[in-house]
Amino acid sequence: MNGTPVWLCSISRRAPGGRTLPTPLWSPSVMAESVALLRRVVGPAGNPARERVFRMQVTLCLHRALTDAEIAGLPDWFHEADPTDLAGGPVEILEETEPGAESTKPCHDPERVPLPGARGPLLWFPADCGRCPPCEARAAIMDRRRDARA
Amino acid sequence: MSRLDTLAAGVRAGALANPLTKAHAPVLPSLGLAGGVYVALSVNL
Repeated sequence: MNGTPVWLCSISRRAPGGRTLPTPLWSPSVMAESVALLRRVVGPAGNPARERVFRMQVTLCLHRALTDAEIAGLPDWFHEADPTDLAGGPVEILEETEPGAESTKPCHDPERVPLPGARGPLLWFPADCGRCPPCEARAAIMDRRRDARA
Repeated sequence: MSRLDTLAAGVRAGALANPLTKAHAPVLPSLGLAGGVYVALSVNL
């Protein structure tokens, strides 16, 4: 979160019968209950004044920034390791206590990539269009990392 | 404390000791819950 490590907590749900229940089909009460459950699982960890709640098509997710004490307690390799990947954009940010960087925002016109093995028009992963400001911001990060390794 | 809260406390402690480095894949360990609800927790950058 703006450079601070985060707790990432994600929830997914299945309909009776076992099929994945896409987040657009969650009722407002299920959505609210799910956000509450995410916060319950993260519990006293992190700084609740620095949170972001966002959804993908399958999962609802919470980012909560770690506290300074938690960051100090992380293993050295976490701070020293090279990044392994850059998370793509969310489908929708539902709430956040501080504005995220442009790179954390949804693509304006994502390609809807069907999830492997999934059936149904709502089960997709957003692939960056590469043209909108959030995509350009994510691409710029990847370019900087590639240049740093060269 | 409910079983979920106890389980979550253990997962939080484990996640701090073994954070998932800067990855966006669905994370482990998972907290499987009853009723088709699945929760996962990790520490990421």
